[in-house]
This record gives sequence, structure tokens and C-alpha cells, in this order.
Amino acid sequence: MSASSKSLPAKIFDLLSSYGLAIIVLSFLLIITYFGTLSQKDIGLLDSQAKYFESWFLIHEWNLWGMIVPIPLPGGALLMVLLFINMLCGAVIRIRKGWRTIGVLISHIAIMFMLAAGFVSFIYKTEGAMPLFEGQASDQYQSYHERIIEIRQWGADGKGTSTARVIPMKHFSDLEPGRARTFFAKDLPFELQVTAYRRNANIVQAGEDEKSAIDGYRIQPVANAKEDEANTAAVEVSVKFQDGTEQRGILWEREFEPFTVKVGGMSYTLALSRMKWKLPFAIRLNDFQRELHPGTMKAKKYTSHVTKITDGREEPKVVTMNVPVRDQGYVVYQASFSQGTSGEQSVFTVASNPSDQWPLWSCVAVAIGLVIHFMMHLVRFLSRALKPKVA
Amino acid sequence: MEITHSRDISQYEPKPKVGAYPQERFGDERLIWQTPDGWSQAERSQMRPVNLAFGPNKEGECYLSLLPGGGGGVLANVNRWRKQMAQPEITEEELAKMPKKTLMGIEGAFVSIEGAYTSVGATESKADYKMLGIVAAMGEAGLFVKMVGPKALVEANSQAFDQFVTSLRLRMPQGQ
Repeated sequence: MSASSKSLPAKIFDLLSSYGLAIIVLSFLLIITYFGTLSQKDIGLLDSQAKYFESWFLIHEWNLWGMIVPIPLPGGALLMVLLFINMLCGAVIRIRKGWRTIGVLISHIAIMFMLAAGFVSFIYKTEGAMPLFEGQASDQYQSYHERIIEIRQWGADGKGTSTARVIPMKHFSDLEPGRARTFFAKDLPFELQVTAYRRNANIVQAGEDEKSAIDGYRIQPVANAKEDEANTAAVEVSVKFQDGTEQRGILWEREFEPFTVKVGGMSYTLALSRMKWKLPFAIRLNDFQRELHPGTMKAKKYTSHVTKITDGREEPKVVTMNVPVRDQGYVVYQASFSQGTSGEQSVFTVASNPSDQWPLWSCVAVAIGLVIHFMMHLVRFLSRALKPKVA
Repeated sequence: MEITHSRDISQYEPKPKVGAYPQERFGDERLIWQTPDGWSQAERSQMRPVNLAFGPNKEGECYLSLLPGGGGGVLANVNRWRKQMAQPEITEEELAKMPKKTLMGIEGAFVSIEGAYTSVGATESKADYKMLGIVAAMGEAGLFVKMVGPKALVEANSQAFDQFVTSLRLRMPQGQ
């Protein structure tokens, strides 16, 4: 059948399964990997990842001898989706099936599995820090980047609810000064209007005649830090009560205490903080040891002797560099340490990722597929070479 | 937009303070005062945690400062201020006879000096100025309130000075 007589779906399938598309996608992946890696020094890891690898399209600003040239490029998300479809159509559906192609098929499916692992990780992975002083215990870890506004209710007896209402960052990070959004919940006796979000800010005393002052303070924007962990966000909130009155406040990531409003004998605290996730077990730091390279302050080895507490059952564990503790889908790594006035603090990174081990399995499967493929070629070559030639 | 997300509170999470004052929330110093009518807040610094200005062109200033080392004691500080006002130093006996005022619960020497004022770092003095102040010792530390400005302006604000000094106090931690 000639190409012109093919139906439109068949033409689309041909395009999606073509080597040409594979080459184009892989070439763009190479380009965005190059630009994305370089941009980390200017905009930091988080922003670079979002701009180049988690986007559908992007505009790369190319500095050509001092002149900024905007270059539109496909984003990493688009390219990886296209690559997945290309491999599915070309290397799984279209490929001739048989013993001769079994190795190639295994390898391609394994690469698709690795792309799927990246997608699952992007959607479901949570990662954060758990800093502990010796003797301290915790069963939660705090996100490095995900800010939240959280609302807790407190009774007159001072007891707080066991859960907090949470507004994720994606719902308020676009609310620059002049833009506002109102949030509500069925069990809250007020609405919350959020505005003037700043990714990095200080709180300063306002002047006497500053109309924007709230409780004598105002948000002072600060240039964003290259590494997002160093930013301290701030936002203005206005609590609108059912009787028509309102109470304004500033929430700041570095504040010592939350903003409080009182309604009908109950108190509600509002805070801007980083998302915290609870673990099904607690970790208590018993002893922290660090070994330095001789004559330097460079760490050779950090080791934390911890107790893992699950439903009151205690188990001694050792967390050290490259030797994490794994349990119930969570991995506790030794990340760093800090020295403060309260003593040494061991900092763990805790991650939960359903696809944690998928890339490893994928790599093993790719290797198996390639070994099968090359062994079959070798056997074919040898059988041809050793076959007696007929005179 | 409806709030649909929530998170579980850990038993290990420290309990926040409900009903905290703005100063507590933002880690501001735990000082409380009332700014007298017509006065305004000026830029604060580590040396001047409370810094106020007054006068039509904010020519007058009044601030609280705390020197951890004490700055040489009450007499040395009084004489340093007198020198700033181009006045001769006084002796321990004269210091003992000076009037007293209470600053944040601590009795201190009340200083009232007229003269040509040379502020720290300035090369020229300003004539016909007046300084009111209290120098108190808090253990090893020195606690000061100093008000300085054109003589007529300072005299017109002497009651406001007393009002400011009386209002100054430390905010005590609230019960949980």
C-alpha cells in the first residue's frame, strides 16, 4: 500500500512510530538537558527542573554575545511523553515479534518502564528533611519546597485538633500583590482571603503613615535565593467572619508563632509553613558521630545511631551515608548535620516514592534484553562462521 | 475555592502559642512602649531597638539602647553625654546628687544637659540643644534612654519623654 493511500490514523501511527521522530525527540532531549544543566547556576536546581524538565514548552533565553535571543523549545514533559509513545508504537507494537527481536523488545519495554517510573515519582514522590538533636524524636518530615497555609482549631481548654486544614502552594503562589483568592471550608466559621504572596521576604516594622501596614508590620520583598530552600515566603491574609467583620494578618515562614483569630469561643491559628508528612513510625536520635578527613572540616562519614519506634516497639538502627533505613515504603537517609547552641543536630532526608526501585529494575531489564540480543547475534555469527563451507 | 486538603498533626510537633502578639510572632524584641502623640518611629538598629523621632522636621530623637558591657558604668556614660553637649565632666559625688528616674523598673540617673550638641561621628556641633536621658545599670549591662534635640523642642516634649519612659516595659511570656 502506497503512503498516499493510507488512512489518517495509519499515517499518524507511522509518524509516531518512526525513527525520525525518535531522533528528533532524543535530539531535543539532549538540547534541553544541556541548557537545563547550565541554567542551574543562574536560577537554581528547582526552577531549572521546573522550566526545562517538567514543562510542555519553554522559552530558553540564549545569551549571544550579550544579546538575549529567545528560543522556543519543547519541554521535558512533552518530549518524554512523545518518547514513550514513540517506543510503544515503534519498538513494541510495530516491531516484528519473534525470538530474534525478543532482546530488543525487553530493552525497549524496560526503558518505557523507566519513563513511567519518572512519571510516578513526579506525581507521588514526597521528600523532606527531618532534623533531630540527640535525644529528640520525630515521626514527620518537612518538604524542602512545598509551602502551605495551614489552619488549626483550638478549644478553650487549649487542645488543638489532630488534623490541620491545608491550602497547598499551587493554590496561592500565583497571588502576587493585587491578586487575591478566597478559600473556605464547610467546618470553618470564616472565609480566608489570601493575597500578596512573596516567595522570599522579610517582615519589617512599618512606618507610621504606611497604609499597607498590618499590626505595625509589612512584607518587605527580597530577591529570590538561587536555591529555593533558602527562601522565606510571606503572604497577607484577611479572615472574613460571618458577621461581615474581618481581621488582617501577615503569615511568614520564619515566624515564631502563628497568626490567631478567635470565633465563638474557639481559636484558629493560621501559619505559612512547609508541608509536613507523617511517618508510620518515629525515629529517635540516640547518638550522632561524624568523621572528618584529616586536617579538614570535610566530612568523611556521618553516622546516626537511632531507634525506630513502631507502635511502641523499639528497634535500634544505624543510618549512615549511603546506608539508609527503609520501612513501609519510606527511606530515611543521612543527609547532613548542623552544629548549634543546643548541640549537634543530625539532618535526615526522608523520601516516599512508590517507584523508588523501578529505575534499578528497569536498568537490570535493559541489561538482560541487550545481553539476550547480543548473545543471539553472537550465536548466529558463530554458527555461520563455524558452518563448513560447501565447495 | 474550597479547602480540601489536610494533614495529621504529629504528637512530637511542638505546640504553637495561640494568641501570640505580632512582636512575638515575628521575633521582634520583647519590648513594649507607647509612642507619644506626634512622635514617629525612626529606623531601628541593633544599638537602638526603640528609636523615635519628633519635631516638625523630625529634628528631635529619642531612643532606648542597651549595652551588654555597660559602657564603663553610669558615671562614664553620663560624662560621655556631657562631653557630647560640650559640658565638663562631673564627679561621683555630683552623680550621687543627681535626680533619679525609673526606667523599666530600674532606678537610674536622670540627665538634663543644655549646650552645643555633637552627635557621634559629627564634626560640627549644633548650638542651643538640650538632652534628657536616664542612665541605669542592669547588672553588668547599661540601659539608657536618651532624648536630644533643639532646646525649645525638647522642653516642649519633656512630658512626652516621661510618658514614653513610663510606658517602656518588657513583654513577659504568656501562659499556654
